[in-house]
Amino acid sequence: MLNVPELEQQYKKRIYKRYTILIIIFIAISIIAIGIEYFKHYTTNNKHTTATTKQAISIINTKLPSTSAKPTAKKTIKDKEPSIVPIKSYSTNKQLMSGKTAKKQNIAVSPVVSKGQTSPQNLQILQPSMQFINNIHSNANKNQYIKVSHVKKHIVSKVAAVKHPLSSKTTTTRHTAQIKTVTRPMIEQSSVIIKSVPISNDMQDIIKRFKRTNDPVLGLFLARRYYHLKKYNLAYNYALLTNQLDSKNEQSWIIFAKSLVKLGQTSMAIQTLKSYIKNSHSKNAKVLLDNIQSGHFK
Amino acid sequence: MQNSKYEAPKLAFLDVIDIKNYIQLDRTSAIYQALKESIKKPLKMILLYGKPGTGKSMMLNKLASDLSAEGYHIYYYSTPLIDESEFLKSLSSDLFGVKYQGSLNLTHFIKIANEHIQEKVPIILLDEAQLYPQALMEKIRLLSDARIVKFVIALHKTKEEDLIAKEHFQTRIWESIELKNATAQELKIYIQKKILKVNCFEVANMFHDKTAKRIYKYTDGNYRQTNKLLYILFDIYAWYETNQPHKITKTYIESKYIDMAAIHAGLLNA
Repeated sequence: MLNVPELEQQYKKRIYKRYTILIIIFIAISIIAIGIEYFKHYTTNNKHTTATTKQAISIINTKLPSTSAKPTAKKTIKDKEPSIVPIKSYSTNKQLMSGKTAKKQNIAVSPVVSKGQTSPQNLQILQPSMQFINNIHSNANKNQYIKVSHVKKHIVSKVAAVKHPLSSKTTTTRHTAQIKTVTRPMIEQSSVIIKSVPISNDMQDIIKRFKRTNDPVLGLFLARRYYHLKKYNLAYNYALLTNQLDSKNEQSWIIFAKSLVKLGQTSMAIQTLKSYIKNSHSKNAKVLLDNIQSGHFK
Repeated sequence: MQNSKYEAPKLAFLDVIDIKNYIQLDRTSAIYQALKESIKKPLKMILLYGKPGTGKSMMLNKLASDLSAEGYHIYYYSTPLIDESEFLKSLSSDLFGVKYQGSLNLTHFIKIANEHIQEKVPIILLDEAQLYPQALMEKIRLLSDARIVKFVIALHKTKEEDLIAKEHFQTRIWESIELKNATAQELKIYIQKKILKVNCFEVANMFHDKTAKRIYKYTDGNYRQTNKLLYILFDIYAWYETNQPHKITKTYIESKYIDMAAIHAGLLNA
């Protein structure tokens, strides 16, 4: 005898089973589809981010070879703030003055990347501190320091280059061209106003900013300045602080070693330079080490 | 249940061989005529083969009935006689009216046949021939060669049976006819004709193309399976008509009930 109610139950079970399987298949397909879409989206975003980062890094590297990869930079320096040219070394600065950037008025303009910046749009520009240059002038006139004439000569040539950008015979290098791209037109039009401000105020301002920002660029500047002012203790201190902030900064190590020599710590300077050369293979450091060891540098 | 309109169609699909219920479809009709013509020819053997449930037995029955009416000396053996002596004694009794006592071998049977020569060669229709032993099949072949009896052999089409056919009948069979399963359209006509034979017009109209396709899906056009499925289907309809009439539609056969019948028939896994 046919048991129809039981048969109907069997039929219903089969239908439920079938729909359950269909729903599971649908969900599985949906999950796979969403997963694929998400993966595609993620891959695209990743490529875009990588490309942007690479572009930014390449710009930074080409524009700022000496200040690149500066992860410890603490602050973005605003345009309106009185800005400082981070002079890395006398020779480097001389090169800039002699023609590499002489074709443009803003020859001493150097972009500085603040901490965490990755895109070129966020690049900040350090503008030449004409006020500072003026301070040097006034200081030189006052004969406060013995070798001011040396600095003055350099600054005069720098100002001359600003006033006669086309007078330089040196062709524009790639480095200069890339700096030009981030230079603002407003700067080109701005006139240089030289004011007489006591140097102590200017230095104090930089020291304050260095303490506030822990920017190794400022630290190096201070170390270099004090070295030239023959304040070797202070030069040593600031070079040491800069080394702590940026252990790969060649110039701060050189100033540090030079200051040690000047302070009579030649053996310590040699030891420091050797350990630095061992890690960095710096040619400039090697040259300095040779000079110290041979007695040419005292 | 006796008064249910589904009771008569249900009984129409009882799986019994009754030539009154034989349904002539276009294709089967053509095959039947071809078989009939082949028998009238002076052929030694005729092979009728096909899958189980394709209508071989029904066709042989119909053939035996029709040719007998036309005066042919024809006999239908629905079940195989495996023992040689019993088989020959049955032939002797049916064809020549000789009831042999004791064991009958082929030599004695040929003697009996020669003593009772008839104008028309008698015809034996052997159903389920794949069940006959090989030795007996050899005897059947010899009888065919001697033109003592004409055999129409019906067997299932499987790989093994194909082999038997090749070994025993390849050089002797003059006619080979294959019966195949019905198509969906043929199945619809078959079902409707079956139902119309019991005068259930309303029920016959409940079968549409979609219904036939669903039934075909489960039965693959096999007549035996179709009969079984429809018997259960009408049983289900009869139950609903009696117990829950609001659940059934009277204008068409619902897929649900076909599925239920298929589950019960073992054609669909629950």
